[in-house]
Amino acid sequence: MSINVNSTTQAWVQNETVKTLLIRMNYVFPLVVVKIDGEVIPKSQYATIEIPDGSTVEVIHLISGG
Amino acid sequence: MMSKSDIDKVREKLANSSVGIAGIGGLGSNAAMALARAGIGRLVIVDFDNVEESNLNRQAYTVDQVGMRKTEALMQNINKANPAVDVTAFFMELEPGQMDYPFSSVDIVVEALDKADTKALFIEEISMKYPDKPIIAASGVAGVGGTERIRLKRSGNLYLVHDDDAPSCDESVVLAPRVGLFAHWQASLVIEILLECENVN
Repeated sequence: MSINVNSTTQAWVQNETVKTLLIRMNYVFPLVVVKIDGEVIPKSQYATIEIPDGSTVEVIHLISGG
Repeated sequence: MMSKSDIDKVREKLANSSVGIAGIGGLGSNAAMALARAGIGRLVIVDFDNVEESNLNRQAYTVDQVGMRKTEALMQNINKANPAVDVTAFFMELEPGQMDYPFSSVDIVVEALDKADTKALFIEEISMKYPDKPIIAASGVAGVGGTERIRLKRSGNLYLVHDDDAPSCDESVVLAPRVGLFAHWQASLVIEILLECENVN
């Protein structure tokens, strides 16, 4: 019962959404791109998509400047 | 070692390739110039800003171009460096939901936007609408020094040149040498990906 978040093992929490995972991990969420098992999750679905047990989550942090 | 025919193949492959660049500030203008010199056949550039004096410490524009549209100014500069490049310019702001359309015909997309939230929305939208198109993004260009922290992360078709410990551009300066490292790394990845498909590198 675990998930992989940015190459670290984390507990899997039942019914946890992308939004609540980001809060648990202390990520500020307008500034990230999230992938679950390689698939990009649009921000409009952060509050509804649940993290499946055993999944690999990538949270890619972006910093302003270009 | 590359043979003469390999070198010709590289030239031909690059001349037949197209790259889209979203944002032509510090990252995009420098990446575009590098790709133009390297001989990419077609560049699509997108921006809605004019050249300002404050841009000249890092962007590929000149004093006499202050006040011009960046798209026009960059077209001029590319044309001077390599007139063989076919440049398509979109003077427009990329709005969520329609960020993809300038990039429908390009082989690779370079994310060279400024604000972190726009970068994130752009990467999301392009990844979802063009899942097979490589996206080369950058994050953490501001600040002074720390160049040894700059790394490349790959996740599927997304490549990110990043320094996760860098300040944001609201907290520190963005100057030509450091943003140029990111821009040239992005341009170098473009070439690498294009040539990987050809197997000539």
